[in-house]
Amino acid sequence: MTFLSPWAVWALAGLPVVIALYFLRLRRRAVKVSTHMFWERAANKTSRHAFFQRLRHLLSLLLHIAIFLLLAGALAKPVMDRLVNDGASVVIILDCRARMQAKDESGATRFERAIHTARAYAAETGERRQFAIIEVDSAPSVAVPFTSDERRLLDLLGEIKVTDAAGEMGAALDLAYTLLEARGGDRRVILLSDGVPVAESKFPLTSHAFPALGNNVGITRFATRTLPANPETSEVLLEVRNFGDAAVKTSVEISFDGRPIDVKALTLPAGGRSFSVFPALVKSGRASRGWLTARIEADDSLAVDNSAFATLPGARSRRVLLVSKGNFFMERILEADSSVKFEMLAPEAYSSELGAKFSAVIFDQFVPDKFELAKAEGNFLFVKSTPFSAGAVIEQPLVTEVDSSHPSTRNVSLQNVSILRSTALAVPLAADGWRFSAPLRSFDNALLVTGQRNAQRLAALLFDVAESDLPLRVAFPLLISNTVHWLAGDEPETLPGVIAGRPVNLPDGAKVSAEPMTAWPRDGSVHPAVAGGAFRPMRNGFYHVEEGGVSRWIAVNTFSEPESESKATSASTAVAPLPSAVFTGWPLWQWLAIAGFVLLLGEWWLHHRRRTE
Amino acid sequence: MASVHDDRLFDSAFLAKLEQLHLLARRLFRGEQRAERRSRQLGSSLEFADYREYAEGDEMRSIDWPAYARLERLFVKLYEQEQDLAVSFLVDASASMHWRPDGAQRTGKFDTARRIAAALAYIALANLDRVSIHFFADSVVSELGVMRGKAQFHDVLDFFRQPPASTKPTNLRASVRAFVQRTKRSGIVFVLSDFFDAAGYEEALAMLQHAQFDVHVIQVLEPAELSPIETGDLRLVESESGASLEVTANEAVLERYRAEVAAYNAGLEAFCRRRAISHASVTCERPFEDVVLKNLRDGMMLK
Repeated sequence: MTFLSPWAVWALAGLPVVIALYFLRLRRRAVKVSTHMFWERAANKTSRHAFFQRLRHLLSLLLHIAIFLLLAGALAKPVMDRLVNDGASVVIILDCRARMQAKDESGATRFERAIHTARAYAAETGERRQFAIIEVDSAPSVAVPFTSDERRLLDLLGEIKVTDAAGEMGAALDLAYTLLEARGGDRRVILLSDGVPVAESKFPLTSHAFPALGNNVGITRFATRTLPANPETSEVLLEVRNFGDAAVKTSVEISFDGRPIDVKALTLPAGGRSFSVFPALVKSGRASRGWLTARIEADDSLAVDNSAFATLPGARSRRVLLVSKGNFFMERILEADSSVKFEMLAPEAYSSELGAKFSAVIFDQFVPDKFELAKAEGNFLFVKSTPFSAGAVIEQPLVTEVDSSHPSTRNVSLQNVSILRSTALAVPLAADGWRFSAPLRSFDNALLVTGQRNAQRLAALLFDVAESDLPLRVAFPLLISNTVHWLAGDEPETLPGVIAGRPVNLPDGAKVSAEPMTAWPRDGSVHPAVAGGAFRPMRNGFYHVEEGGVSRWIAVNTFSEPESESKATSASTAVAPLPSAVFTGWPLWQWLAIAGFVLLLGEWWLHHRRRTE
Repeated sequence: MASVHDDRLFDSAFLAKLEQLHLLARRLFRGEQRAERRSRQLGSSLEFADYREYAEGDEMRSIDWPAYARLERLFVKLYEQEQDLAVSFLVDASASMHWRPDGAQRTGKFDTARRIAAALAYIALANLDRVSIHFFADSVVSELGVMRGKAQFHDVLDFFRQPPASTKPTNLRASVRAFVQRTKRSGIVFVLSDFFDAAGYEEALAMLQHAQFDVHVIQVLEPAELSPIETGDLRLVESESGASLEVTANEAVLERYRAEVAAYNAGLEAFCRRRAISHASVTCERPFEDVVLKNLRDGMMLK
């Protein structure tokens, strides 16, 4: 059952008034008589009669209350759901994707036009015609379930905002069909978008395609990565595409923490694209936020893709301890890595307390006494000698498998590397919280074992680098540097970008700001981080993340060519008027009103025949 | 509104009719003075009673000489002694007797009662009876001493013109007790009342009979009491006590009320019949002349 005027529930507050009026009505007309002798006996002859007298009082009051409740119920306009289903059900799909920010010749955005149209439809809401609204950004969601409350529809239309997210319309249509399949009567879909082509629709569909200027130029890719050869620097990749039908001359400006650091002129033919690489950018310092912003100068239809955001990884110095009697190759590599503060210690001078002060400890052909993986604290790289049970010696093992996705072996090429011998070791089973893998293998035997227990990391190289030609190869410094940085807890140098509308899983305890920042604040202010858990950014910009007392920034972009393509792909369909619902019977409220009136007549009849009081 | 001093109701024609009437007593009473009512005593009236043989000391003029001529024996003619009769009126002056339905313009119960009493008093005075009048409510509240002869009828009217206060409730038993205690001579007593006494009338009327009174009951009623027509949600205010009773009067209730009143009145009539008490029921709407000349004669109070 649906109440079309739920405000009428306030009428129940008048119930005490009805009861008060009833008792006021019982004020009797005073008549003087000579004696009560006969009246007492006539009016109250027996206890049974007195019982019926009280019953008459009660019946009269109950009749009054019943009449009032029936009329209040009629005011609330209850309608049986079955009858509503037989009416008209309309689902409005409101496109809130980034493309709806494109402007037309008058300067109005598609979204503003769509909201205006949706409001016009909402005005056609009636008792027998219910509307539901689906908003579409990266995914469809029901913004308003079926209702005939025009005010509610208009209020919620005022709250829906356009987003910078990209998404597909097909899921929204499927959701609309699902909503309508459960309904009866006339059913239809109204699509308010940029002109989505719909090949076949389960229900009558009216598509409103809101046009926009087609001269859009947008940034479709903007990414940074640390140069493997020079971890101190990063390079920036920028892709710009001209979605218009005419060649465009524009310029792109790269800013770091709000300061312009490079400007480049671009000439883009119609439909053409430009790739630019900005090399040798310095890494952000300790005080910087690492904001990298690209802006193109273009007066086009869609502004959201004229800016792009990225972050540079922060510079961090790692302390590494080499416990060795002397290893020329290892010492030279660690000395050459400027991101590492390298110290060397003789094996006999090592203590676990000392090792805990370093980000990573390298044991060269040495395993400390009583070293137990279960109790060990710190990050360790074992070379040749490992805490694992030593197996047989493998002569001249071949490198058969390299896991390039593992941080320690990323960009490492070990093709044709010659190793004199190694220790036979299968991948250890998980134990004491450790989980192990072998990113470097020789058939079934591991050549490099890595393990992780929460934030604690371990690596074990099962051969002596001096007994191989690895130190003579480019892969050696990369392998050691990757492994040391991985042990020290460094994230991959290339930060993945976040796409607007897609969920970002933050670690437990992390908080993120609700709104993004797009321009460098003069006062250095930061939006407070307010929420954690699953996070779905809907606008582009920098989001502030706090995690364990450490601040970092997430860059969010649209980066969707379909969203930047501002030309409509399909025209509007003919706008069909909404049909009036078939009148199948009286709504329930009219029956309630009639019942109340009949009871009123009955009460009047009974009262005037003194059956009630 | 007509009242007891309305001369139109006591015009000469009506008074002449009244003079033709006599109060009926079911038994004979011993009088004190000569009057027009026969007594058991033999006396000197013109009404022949009996013969007896002459005895020494009898007056010569009382000898029936024609009988002596026929029978040659001396007989003396005996004549009835006509004596006066004590006639008392107990008139209910309680609040219920003063009640009249709202808006009623006709004579009320109390006015009707005292007019009947005045008419009967006139008859009694015309017959040289001794008349006393007593207003009562919860007791005897005022009284007029013994009157005799038509000349004192105006005193009777003056007494009726000044009725006592009307707010007291009816207490027949206490009133009759007070009347009996202060009345030394028995005779006829007319009790004019509505007899609406919750304590009952039986004991009071029995007390009068026990005191050797020939009791005549005249129940004066208002038609609206017999058959009320007020319906709806009523708050009935009793005239005597001022108490309220909430009643929803519908046809069923009114029907029960009429049955109750009828049963009560029938009970009074039956009681009077059993105790050889003359009874007449009078309603205020009835023409006064009819009441006196018909109702009371039918009730064996007048001849």
